[in-house]
Amino acid sequence: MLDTLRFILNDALNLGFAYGLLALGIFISYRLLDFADLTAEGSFTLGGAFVAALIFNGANPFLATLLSIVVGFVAGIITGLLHTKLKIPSLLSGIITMTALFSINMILMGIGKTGKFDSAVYLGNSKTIYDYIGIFKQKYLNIIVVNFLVITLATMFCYWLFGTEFGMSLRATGMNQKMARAQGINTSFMIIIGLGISNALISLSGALTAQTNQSADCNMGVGTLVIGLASIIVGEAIFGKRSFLNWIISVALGSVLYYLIIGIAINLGLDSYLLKLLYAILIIIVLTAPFIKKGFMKLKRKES
Amino acid sequence: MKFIKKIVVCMLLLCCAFTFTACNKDDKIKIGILQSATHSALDAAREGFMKALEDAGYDDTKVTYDFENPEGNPANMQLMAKTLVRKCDIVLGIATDAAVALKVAAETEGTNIPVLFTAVTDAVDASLVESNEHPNGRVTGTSDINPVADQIALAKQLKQDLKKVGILYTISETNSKVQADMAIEEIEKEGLEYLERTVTGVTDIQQTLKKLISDGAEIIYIPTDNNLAKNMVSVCNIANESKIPVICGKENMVKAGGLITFGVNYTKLGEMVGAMAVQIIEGADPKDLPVGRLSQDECNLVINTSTVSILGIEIPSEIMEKATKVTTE
Repeated sequence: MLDTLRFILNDALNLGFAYGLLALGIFISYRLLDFADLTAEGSFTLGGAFVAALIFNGANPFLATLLSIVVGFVAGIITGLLHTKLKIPSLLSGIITMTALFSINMILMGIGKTGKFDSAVYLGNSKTIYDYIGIFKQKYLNIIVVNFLVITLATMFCYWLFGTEFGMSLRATGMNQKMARAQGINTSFMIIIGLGISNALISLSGALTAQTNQSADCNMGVGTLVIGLASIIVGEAIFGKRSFLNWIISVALGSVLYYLIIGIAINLGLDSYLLKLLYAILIIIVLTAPFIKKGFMKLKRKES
Repeated sequence: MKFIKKIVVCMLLLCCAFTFTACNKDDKIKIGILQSATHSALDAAREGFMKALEDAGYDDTKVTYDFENPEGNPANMQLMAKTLVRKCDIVLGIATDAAVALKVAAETEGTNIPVLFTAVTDAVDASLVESNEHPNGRVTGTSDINPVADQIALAKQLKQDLKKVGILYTISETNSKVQADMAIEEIEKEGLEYLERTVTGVTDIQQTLKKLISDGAEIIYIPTDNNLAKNMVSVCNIANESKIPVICGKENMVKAGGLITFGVNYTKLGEMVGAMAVQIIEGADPKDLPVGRLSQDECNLVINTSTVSILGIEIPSEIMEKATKVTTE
C-alpha cells in the first residue's frame, strides 16, 4: 500500500516534470499569446526524434538536448512566420508546420540507417543524459532529479522573461493585440518569438521523454496537446493563479497532478477499457474541487 | 500554509483511493501483460499466451494476470510499463512499442524480472535482444516476421506473366517497412519490378491506391500493416473493382476482402511465447531462449473465395487444396 503510493508519486514526478515543460510551452501559446498553436504535437516529436537520432549516431547527449531546444524554437518561428507574414489563420499555420514536421521527423529518424527514413529510433544501450548523472544508484531517481532541475530552470526563466519589458509586451499582445499595437509594440515579432519559445520548451520536453524511454517514435507526440491543456487546467484549478508567479508554478506542477490522477487510475486495478472513464471522472472531481470548496465556505459563513 | 494544506488534501485523496484497492498477497505467480492497442491479431496473441500457460498446468489457482492496454497513448504506456514491472514476476509486451517500454522500465527500475515479447517484427533493430539466436539479457520472445518470400512466391503462382508488383503500407509503421524492404529484395531476386507507395493515415489511402493501380501494378502486396488492416474494406473495394489481386500480411485482412495470405498465426505465436514463459517459470534463463519464429507449416494459407469470384481469376489447384477458405465478412 505505502509502496504503491510511493511508486505512484515517483511516476507522477518522473513523467510530470518532463511533461511540465510541455505544459509551460502550451501555456505560453494558449494562455499568454492567446494563440491556438497546434505545432505542439509536431515539435514534441521533433525534439524526441532529433535527440534520439543524434544520440543514435554517437553525439553527446547534453549537446543533443541543448540543440533540440534550438530546433523547437525554429519550428515555432516557422508557425509564427506563416501566421504573421503570410497571413495564414493561426490554427491552420500550426497544422501546416505539424504536418511538415511529420516528414521531417521521419527523415531525422532515418539518419545513419540503411533506408532514407524510419518511423522509430531505439537507443538500446546508447548513453543518455540520465546515464551521466549518478547522484543516486537508482536510475529513476536520477531522472526525477534531472527533470526537476530542468523544469525549475525553465520556470525561473519564464518568470524572469515575462517580467521584462519584452515579456510584458508579449503578454500585452496576447491580451489585446490592437491595443498593444497602438502602444507601439511590434505584435508580429512578439507572436513569432513567443511561439518560438513555446515550441522550444515543448521540443525540450520531447527530448527528455525520448531519453527516458530510450526510444523515439513518430507517434510519440499523439495526444500531447490534450495532456498539456489538461495539465494547465488541473494545475490552475488546484494551485490557483493569484499572481503570475503562482500561475506559472501551478502550470509547471499541473502535469504532476495529472499523472498522479492517471497513476491512481491505473493502480486501482480496473480493466483497461474502463480507464478512460475513470480519468474523466477523476478530472471532473479535481476541476470541481474549487467550486465545492467555495460552496463549503458559503455554508460556513451562513452558519456563523 | 495554504499550499501545504492543499498537498495534504491531495495525499488524503490518494489514500482514500487506495482503501478501495484490494491488497491480495499470495504466492501466485504474477504475470503482467502490456498490449499496445486493441487489435484482433494482438488479442489473438494474448489469448494464445494464456492458453499455453493453462495447458501447461498454470491455471487460475497458480497464476494471476495483470493486463494493461494504453490504446496507443505513449505516455500512459510508460506509466503502465512501470506499474507492471514493479508488481509482476514476469511481464509480456505485445507489439514492439510495448515490449520496448517494458524493457526500459525494468532497466530504469533496476529490477531483474524476465521480459517476454511477442508480435515484434525485428527484435534486434528494436534493441530488445543482442541477436535472435542469443538474446543475452533478461528479454526474449517470439517474432511475427512474415514469410515474405513465400508471400511473393504466391504472387508469381497467381499470375504467370507478372511484371510489376505494387507494395502499399503506412509510412509510420516500422513493422510494415521492415516487411516492405524484405519484399522488395525478394521481388528483385525474382527479376520483377516493384512500385513502392506509402500512405500516412486514413485519408490518403484511396488516392495512393488508385495511383498505384494506374501506374501499372498487377498485384498489390500489403504487409501486416495495422492502419491498412483497419481500412481493408475500402482498400479491397478499389482493388477488386480494378480486378487487381491483393496479397495480404495476415488473415483478418483476407477476411475483410483481400485475396490471399500466407501469414503468421498469432494464436500460435502467442502459444509459443507462452511455452517460453512456462520454461522460465520452471527455471530456464531467458538469455538461453532464442527468439522464436513460426515454421512454415505453422503459418496459415488463407484464401477469400468471394474475392476470387469477383476477380474472376483462375487459382492454381495446389493452392486451392492447401488453403483455408473464407468469405468476405
